[in-house]
Formats: sequence, C-alpha cells, structure tokens
Amino acid sequence: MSHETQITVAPDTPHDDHAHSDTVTLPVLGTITVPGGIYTVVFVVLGVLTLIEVLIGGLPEGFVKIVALLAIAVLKALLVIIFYMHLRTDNRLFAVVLALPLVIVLLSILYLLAVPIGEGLGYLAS
Amino acid sequence: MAQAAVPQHAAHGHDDHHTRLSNENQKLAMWLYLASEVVIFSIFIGGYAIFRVNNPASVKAVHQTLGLVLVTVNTFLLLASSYAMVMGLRAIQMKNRQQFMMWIGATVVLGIIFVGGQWVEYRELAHHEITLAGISDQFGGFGMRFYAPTAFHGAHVIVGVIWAMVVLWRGSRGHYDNNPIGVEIFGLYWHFVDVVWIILFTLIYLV
Repeated sequence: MSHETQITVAPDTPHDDHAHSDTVTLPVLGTITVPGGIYTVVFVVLGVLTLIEVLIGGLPEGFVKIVALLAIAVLKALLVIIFYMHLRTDNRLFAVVLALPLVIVLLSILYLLAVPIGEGLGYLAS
Repeated sequence: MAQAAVPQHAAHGHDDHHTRLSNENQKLAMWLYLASEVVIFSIFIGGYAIFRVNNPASVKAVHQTLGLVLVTVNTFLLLASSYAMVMGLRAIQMKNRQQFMMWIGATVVLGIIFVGGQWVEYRELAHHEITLAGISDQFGGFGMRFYAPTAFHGAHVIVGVIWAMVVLWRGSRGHYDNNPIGVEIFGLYWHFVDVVWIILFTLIYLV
C-alpha cells in the first residue's frame, strides 16, 4: 500500500514512506498492521489516555492527581505534535521555533505562580 | 536525444528543488505563526492557572455544578477531527483524492459539531449563572478566566472549519494533486488547535 503511488514533489521526505505504511512496530505489541498505520495507533492511544484522564479527574483532590493529569495532557500534546505535526521527522528548526516561546512562557507562569498576590517586581518598583 | 534529456532532467531537478525549498519555507512560516499563538494562549492558560491556585474553592464549585459528559464527548470529537485531518493528508500524498475528500469532509463536520457542543455548554453555563460578570459573582470570577481561553479557542476552530472547507474545495479541483503542501500547512494549524484543547480540557475541567 505504501508503494502504490509516487509523490511527485516530495520524494525527498523519508518520513512519507513510514507515514504511509499500515505496518507499525510498537514497544510491547511488536509489529502490527492496522489501516492508517501509526496515525491510527496514535489516535487510539489519545483516546485511551483521555479516558484515563477522566477517570483520574473523578478521584479526590491531591497533588499526585494534578501532576498525573498534567503529565498525561503533556504526553497527549507531544503525541500530536510529534506524529500528526511530523515534528519527529521534519526540520529541527521547527522544533526550536516551537520550544523557544514555550520555555519563556513556562518560566513566566512559574514565576507568577511563585509570587504571592500583592507582591512581585511591579510592587518592588513602586 | 541523449543531449536533450540531460538539460530536461536538470530542469526537472531544479523545479523539484525549488518546490521543496518553497514547501519548507511555508512550513517554517506556519511554525512561526504557531509560535506567536503559543504566547497568546499561554497568557490565557497562565491567567487561569494562577486563578486556579488562588481560588480552589471557586473552581471546585464549578466542577461540582457542571458535568464532564458533554466536554468529554467534545474532546473526543476534536481528537477524531485531528485524526481525520492527518488521514486526509496521507490520502492526498498517496494521490487518493476521493479518500482525501472524505477525510477532510469529516474534519469539517467534526469541527462544526465541536463548535455546536461548545455553544450548548455555554448555554448551560449561563443557566448556572457562570458568566463574564466579574469577580463578584458566586463563582468568584471563574467566568472571565474560563470564557477567555475557551472562546478564543472556539474562534480558532471556526476559522479552521472555514479553512478546511477551502482546502476541500481546492482539493476537489485537483489543486493538491502534485503538491499537497497546502493541506499540510492547514494540518499544522488544525493539530495545533487540537493541542491547545488537550491542555485546556485537562487544566480547566479536570485539575
């Protein structure tokens, strides 16, 4: 299936053959064949992770719950970015373009979370 | 004949190189645009996170008032639309225009249903008096922290649906048969919208 057609313009992209294959090699399950290949596998994993998230969301409040939920959300986001947005195989510059603002805003949010209400650099200046 | 074939081949190679370069530049431009979107959405997300840390009781009250069923279904719809999008790209790269139309059409339908679901949710929220009323409402100003990111995201979904329709229309005319970069660029946008929702869903509805 992966070699049925030729892509006229982009024969240079090595990930195309991989993305067009219905056969996927997975860590635990080994080599499996599903329609849609890696895209279908990622979709199923995203669905399962969402269900797990909803189940965890029903648990009592706690630090572990929040960390677990955020970790799953980051994992889901990474799966979409890496496989659906092809960041794994595309130009590394794209990853840098995405990572740079993420790092800056993450540091900013962590700073804001760490500063109690009514304090901070703005209050120091005044 | 052989002499003529060499320059033809060279010209073809030059065209390929030019197209490849153009595609890479378009993707870089899209990633730069998405980087700016990261900053905007992060401001909303950061604002909500700070509110969540400082007002846990208000957030808990909202969570107890609202159910998770509608938003969970909506989340699955958006995940499914992302899957449909990437399958549409796969189809057009494999020169299967019929499947491409089917998958991108599914993306459009799922996007529209998502927006409809969000509209229903907003009505339910309004019914519970969770509005943009400010910090004096019974939920301690949750509304303004909630509506800003979700409505901004919803606006992105609406733009994405319109863009998907344009992609569908152009695809039906064979525009992407030789170079599907236009589909890939739209896919980057649509998947980014999905990624934002993945974070918003967890942060606002579950944490």
